[in-house]
Amino acid sequence: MPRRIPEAMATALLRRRANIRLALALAAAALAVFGAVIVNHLPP
Amino acid sequence: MTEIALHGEHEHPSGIARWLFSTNHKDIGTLYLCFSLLMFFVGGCFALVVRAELFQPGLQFVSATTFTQMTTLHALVMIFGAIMPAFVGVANWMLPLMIGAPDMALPRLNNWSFWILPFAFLMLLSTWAMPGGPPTTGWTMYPPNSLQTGMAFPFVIFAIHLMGISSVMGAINVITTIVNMRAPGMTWGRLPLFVWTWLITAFLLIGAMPVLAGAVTMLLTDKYFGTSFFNAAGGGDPVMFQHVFWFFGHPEVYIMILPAFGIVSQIVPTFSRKPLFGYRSMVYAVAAIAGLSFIVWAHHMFTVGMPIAGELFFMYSTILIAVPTGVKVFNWVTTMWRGSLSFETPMLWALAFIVLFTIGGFSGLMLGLAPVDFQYQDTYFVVAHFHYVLVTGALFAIVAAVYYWLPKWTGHMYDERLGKIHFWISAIFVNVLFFPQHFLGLAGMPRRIPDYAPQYTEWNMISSIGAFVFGFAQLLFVYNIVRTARGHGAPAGARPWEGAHGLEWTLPSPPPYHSFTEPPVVDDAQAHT
Repeated sequence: MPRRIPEAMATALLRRRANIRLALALAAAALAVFGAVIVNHLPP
Repeated sequence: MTEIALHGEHEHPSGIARWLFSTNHKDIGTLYLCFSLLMFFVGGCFALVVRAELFQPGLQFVSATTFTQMTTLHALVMIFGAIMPAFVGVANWMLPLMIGAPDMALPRLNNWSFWILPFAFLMLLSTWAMPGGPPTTGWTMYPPNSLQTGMAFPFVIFAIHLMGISSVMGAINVITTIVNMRAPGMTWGRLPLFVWTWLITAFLLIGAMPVLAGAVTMLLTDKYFGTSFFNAAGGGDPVMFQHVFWFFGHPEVYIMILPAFGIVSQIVPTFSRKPLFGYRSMVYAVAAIAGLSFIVWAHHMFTVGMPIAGELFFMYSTILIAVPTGVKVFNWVTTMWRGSLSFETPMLWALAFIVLFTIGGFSGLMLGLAPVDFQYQDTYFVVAHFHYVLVTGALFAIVAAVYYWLPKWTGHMYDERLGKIHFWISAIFVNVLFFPQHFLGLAGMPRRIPDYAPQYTEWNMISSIGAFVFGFAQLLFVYNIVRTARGHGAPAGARPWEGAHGLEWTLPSPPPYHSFTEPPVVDDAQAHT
């Protein structure tokens, strides 16, 4: 039998996972903007 | 296991470790605010050197090179070291309290965001000790001038990268906190305006800061790796740098003013004892200003020689910003209309913000008109304009926020009489400092010059006197904060302002180490929207 995770802890873990997912998506967006600025100005 | 145990409620570090390793939003908020206060005085000292030099025509104290280096570092320190970290500090303190969260969503990232900053500024300020010294370009770093900077150049670029990384990480944290950590019942329609403005500001940061990072990276490769992004001799275009820089630069201006709108939107209803007038239109106006900020950049460069269609597009889009800004000013005034007003120190600063920021807005309208801008471009009129926006706008809102929430942060009331003295000296002398610069600019005095024609002397003298009185008056602010933080002043209850509404006032003053260990349930009465 797997150990039951207490409900409050499970909620906190889930929320943490959601936090990290959103943070990674935003960081990727920032990096994409940075890359786009440079690539857009490279010579043809 | 409860939320308290997960966050280590019983493991409060003390001493230096508390500050170095802190993941607590209140401690990190305090660090940000103290750092920005320090930088405010560093940048202020650079400004006073500039104003001392401009007291009379001719060169008195510093060389022309040192003068332009002072203006460069004054701007970089004030923008990235004082104004932006101060807003992040207030956000760190207040966002979790306002949305009913125990802390920021990503506490370790929060610690990292802050501790990057002191190293960035150490590196930036260390350029004074390098051969050739800091750049002489102003904060805009236009090539080819910036490419002639000595060995300080890569240090400045790296410092700017670190500031940008810090800002972007802070923005990620703010968005994640607001999206994921709101208490039950804290719907989008009940978010306090300060939270809304910070959410939109955080998106602006993520959209704009990487553009600056890209621009300065291209400068770096042009100087050291033989590329020609902005070098005409190699097929590049120096004007392109101006386009890229201002594509970042204009949203950056709104990054520094939108949280100020949020602060004023919290303070005015409290001391008018009425809900904010036009809550939804306020949110839409902030979003509209943020959206427009990305399509107006070339109004900073009307004189570089654009096609007439470009001039017209950027002129009309710029003037369009007056509409949502007008909505905000109208709503603040209408909130006060028939309210039960009282004029405690935070309200005085907020009122000064509304009046003086509007003056900065009007001069912005004048500068936004392309044919008129040909006259004003690169004159002291521009300097007067953006200092009305950033000093009597952003800085006044930060001071208002500190007075407003200091009782909550420290558990003690500040000295009200001293706060009012600080306000009146500041409000009078900031106008002595900056208003004459309109006249100087209209008369044709160029900006960023250490010497000037004798006919500009009188207004320059008056402006310099205003600068010194305004600058030294800020010591009263520091004294008031320090004595309040050290426990002098009457104890502040949970809600020291009788007209204040919102979750932050349901907690004791100062709030517990972890703000809301049990999520509060929010209803319309608390939201007060």
